[in-house]
Amino acid sequence: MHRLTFYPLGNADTCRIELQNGRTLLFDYAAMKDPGNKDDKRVDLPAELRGDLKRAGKNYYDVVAFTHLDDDHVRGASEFFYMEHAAAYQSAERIHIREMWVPAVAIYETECEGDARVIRQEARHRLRAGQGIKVFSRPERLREWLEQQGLTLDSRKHLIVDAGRLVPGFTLDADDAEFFLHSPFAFRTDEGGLIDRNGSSIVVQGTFNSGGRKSTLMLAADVTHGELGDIVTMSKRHGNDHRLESDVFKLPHHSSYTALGPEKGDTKTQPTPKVAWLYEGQCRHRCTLVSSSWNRPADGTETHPPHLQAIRYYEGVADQKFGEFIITMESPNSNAPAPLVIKLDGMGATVQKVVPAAAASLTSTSAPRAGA
Amino acid sequence: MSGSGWLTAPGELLGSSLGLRTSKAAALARLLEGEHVPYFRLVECRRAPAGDVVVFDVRPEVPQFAPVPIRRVERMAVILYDADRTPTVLSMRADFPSIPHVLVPEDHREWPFLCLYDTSYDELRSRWTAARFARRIHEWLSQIARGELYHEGERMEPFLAVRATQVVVPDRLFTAAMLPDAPLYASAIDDGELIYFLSYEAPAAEEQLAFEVLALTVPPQQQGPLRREPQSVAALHELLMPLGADVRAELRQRVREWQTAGAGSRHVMIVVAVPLHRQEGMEPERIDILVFLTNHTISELGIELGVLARQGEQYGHLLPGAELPGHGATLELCRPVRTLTREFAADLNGVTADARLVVAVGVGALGSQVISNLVHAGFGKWTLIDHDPLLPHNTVRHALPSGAVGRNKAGALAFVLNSFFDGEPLAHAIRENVLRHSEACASAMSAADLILDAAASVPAARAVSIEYAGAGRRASVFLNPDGADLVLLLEDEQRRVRLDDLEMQYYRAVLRTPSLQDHLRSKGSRLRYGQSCRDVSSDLPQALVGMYAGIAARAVRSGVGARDARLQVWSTTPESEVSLVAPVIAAPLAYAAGAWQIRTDEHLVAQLMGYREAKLPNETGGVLLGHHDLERQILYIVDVLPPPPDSEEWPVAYIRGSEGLSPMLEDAAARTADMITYVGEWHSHPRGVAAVPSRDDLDVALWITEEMEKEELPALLGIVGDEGPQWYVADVLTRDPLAIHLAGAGRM
Repeated sequence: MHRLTFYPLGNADTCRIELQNGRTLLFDYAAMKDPGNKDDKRVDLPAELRGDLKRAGKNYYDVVAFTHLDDDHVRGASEFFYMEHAAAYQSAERIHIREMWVPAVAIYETECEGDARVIRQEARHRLRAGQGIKVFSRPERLREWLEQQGLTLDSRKHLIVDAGRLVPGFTLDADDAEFFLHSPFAFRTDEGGLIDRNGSSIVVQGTFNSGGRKSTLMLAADVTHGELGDIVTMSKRHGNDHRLESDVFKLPHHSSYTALGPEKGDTKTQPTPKVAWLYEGQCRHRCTLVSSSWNRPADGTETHPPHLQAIRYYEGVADQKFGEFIITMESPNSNAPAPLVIKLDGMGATVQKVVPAAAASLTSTSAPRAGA
Repeated sequence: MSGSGWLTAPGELLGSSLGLRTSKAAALARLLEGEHVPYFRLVECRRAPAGDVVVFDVRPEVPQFAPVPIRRVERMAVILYDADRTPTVLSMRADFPSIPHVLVPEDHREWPFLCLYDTSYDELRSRWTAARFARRIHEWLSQIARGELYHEGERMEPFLAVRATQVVVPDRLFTAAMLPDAPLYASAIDDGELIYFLSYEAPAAEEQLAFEVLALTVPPQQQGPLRREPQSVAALHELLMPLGADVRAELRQRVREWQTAGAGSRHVMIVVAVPLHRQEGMEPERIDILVFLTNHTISELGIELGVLARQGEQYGHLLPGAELPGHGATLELCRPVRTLTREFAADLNGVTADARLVVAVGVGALGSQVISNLVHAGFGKWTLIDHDPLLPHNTVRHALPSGAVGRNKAGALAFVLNSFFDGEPLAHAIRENVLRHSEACASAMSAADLILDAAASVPAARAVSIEYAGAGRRASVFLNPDGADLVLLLEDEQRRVRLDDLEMQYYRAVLRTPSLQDHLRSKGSRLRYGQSCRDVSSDLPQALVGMYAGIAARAVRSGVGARDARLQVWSTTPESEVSLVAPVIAAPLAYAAGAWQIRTDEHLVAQLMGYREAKLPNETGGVLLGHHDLERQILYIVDVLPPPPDSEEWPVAYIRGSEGLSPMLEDAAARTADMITYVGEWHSHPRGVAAVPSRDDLDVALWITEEMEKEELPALLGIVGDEGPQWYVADVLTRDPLAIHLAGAGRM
């Protein structure tokens, strides 16, 4: 059995994938909880992850992927991970990254600061060192930067993965899992123009084999409907329709309407035809759609995601598929959101639903301070 | 059915949870209202005549591809009764999957009913909280969705109603492909709670028959027919007609016959056998037995079915054409409970039934209880041998009750064991002394797969081991004299290590194991009550015998499951801590020496070789311990004492000293209740020198013989050379000391 865990972090992403052979991947790291605010119901991500690592007897992840360098995908990473490029990030309690996955933009971006800058420095360091990293890009995009470093593209080509390929290092034979890269990408339109989406974030499809059944997961970061449409076009052109199938879909951009279509719509967002095909055509029977976002808004006037109109579209897809649409901040309920666990086994994807007992809740956290 | 497809729950809708009367319903509603419990949503509260109804939606954990179609959201209603009895849990959808643990009892026939617990509510009541109850419902639905409870429910009958009337049904009915032609009889016992019985045996004549039985088999089905409990003959008819059985026509005809035969005041038990197969054309895998009781007498039934009419006190037959459908002929569905068989008993013991032929010798305190334990677990077809009658004081520690006093122990126990199970008798008795070697004993022993000696007697054990022919493994179980220790000796499957060999190795263990030093030593007066080391004192607690009977039964069972021999000694402290000593068993060696047979084992030989090796090029030697079976002329060599320190050892001579020998011999005798004594001498010969007696050796033999002769015991001389020991048994043929005859032993 493989396990996916999505964390309630407001409009922010972290997804952990534990393969049944024990290898573990983390997609994004966003420690959003405000420790000074008692009413902040977002999960204490570093505490949660440390607890799980301790139980597993590990101090590392096999892979940590940063889908892009926005704050809601990297916040606090410079305090949590062991960074090989600088001693300032190497204290004993830090969690090691065996292999880092980043989009090309994380290498050549010049305007970034804070956690994003630290990740960029680490990614650059690893790429220079020639190990512990995969950069997702059209290889040509990295030629200039590499040459500035006095390196050749050829010497680093094995660390660069282009869209439309399986990410090396995971196979169905060895790991019962594989990851297919959809984005970043560049492609020629039918009219011959070049569309270069190498600035965008990582989109992958994971396939997981367990108990004689293959289950699929789409992780769509923060892409827009335009980028999704291009992914659809490109996949169809290469006969990779099945690489867009999903049993579990991590919806893009916290249920923003912009990931569906150009207009928010009055009651329900109308997706572009390509995006509609991605959900209505490629989501499987009884699929699970995960919105990593704040709670459902009361009305459709919100400017920030999640947008009620988009949520209504996703709910419609879930109903049509006899599936489930889940907002991370509302799972299992709004009072006490908790990490959302999805098990993948011979019965497909199962959203774990356990009614907690009082004793289990009490003993899962420290007791309040007692005494005179 | 409401717009969303859910059924409407029983009772009248209440405006709010404030109208609930029972504290449990109020607690449940409060809990679900407050959103404290994830995956639950309170829908409404209702009031039914007997209790409160809380209706809620629950979101169980359902796999994407669930083997049992549980929905992502299920609507449930719970009835919490004013009289605090088992809450009823109902599904609010008519198409809730038909699986074990889901049924429709008589008082909630509209809604599928879930069986959440396998413990009684009386046990749950003190631990019941609304939160636990909700959690259990959630967990139950989640397990059902994965098909987990479904498999576990193998042993449950699919239509098991929680409070249904129970009817004990012969096991055969569940295993036969169809109901046999032999007539079935129904009876009942009312001892507080009414229990019905269905049997192939006619009740004793003095019993008043209260029932007639109508039994029928329908053609094989792919699944059980009951989703709704038929409440009347008409409903049962509608249910069975499509399956190809006309129960109503059959019943009408039989009602006429019974009425004519004067049985009009009796009731009818209707037995329907439904063979279930996986696919059309395949053999049935199991049979569902449905049992119904009519609430009416046969005469009343005749009226309801339109075949009889009543005039005053008289009933008359109606002509064909007046038949009624039988809506008024109400039925009660009974829960069939199968009779116990050896296989079922084994199953309930968590083991597989074992039909090997077992002869048990000795049906005393330990024996009777060990046998009883084994039989309870479906082990063995038994022949019990004992010549003793049961006396009142025996029953203090015996499987038999006082009612059997005066009966032969073997016969009485066989009778009791045969009443355990439905089916062929599993035990019979031979009321004889095993030492008398009757024809019956001999033929039982020769056919046996296992002979279990529990006679607490060395002669009986030796007879079982040596004198009775047969390939069956032999085992002895007995207690030590103060009853604090249990001994199991079990031969290997090939009988290479005989029971008497094991007995000797057991004595060696007693000699050598510090924790067993008092095992056979008497407390106070030595062997107060008996002449043998296996006679148990009379002030032994039954608790200890019962405990050891349990240990022995398990050990026998596990022992016969393996090929190797066993020698196990359990000891118990006064605080009931049990420990086990299980020495390594050595392969036996046997030699023939004239009229005598010498038996020892590889362990002893290895020890002699070791002593010799250590002293080469000098000779060494010492005293041999063992046991004489004079009756069978077997000389067992069991142990060897180390060379006394005052011995003289030379390259071509050995003079055995005597320092410390006497106390060691006395200790050996005391430790083994005189079973182990001095049997002879051994010494080594140097390398390259044959292990045949020299002139000096003959003098030694003569010296031993003169002493042993006084006890009428043979003298044993062992000479250990390069090839191992050679054994010589000396007999003085005449008073002439030179006429000693040494019989060199050849390996058997």
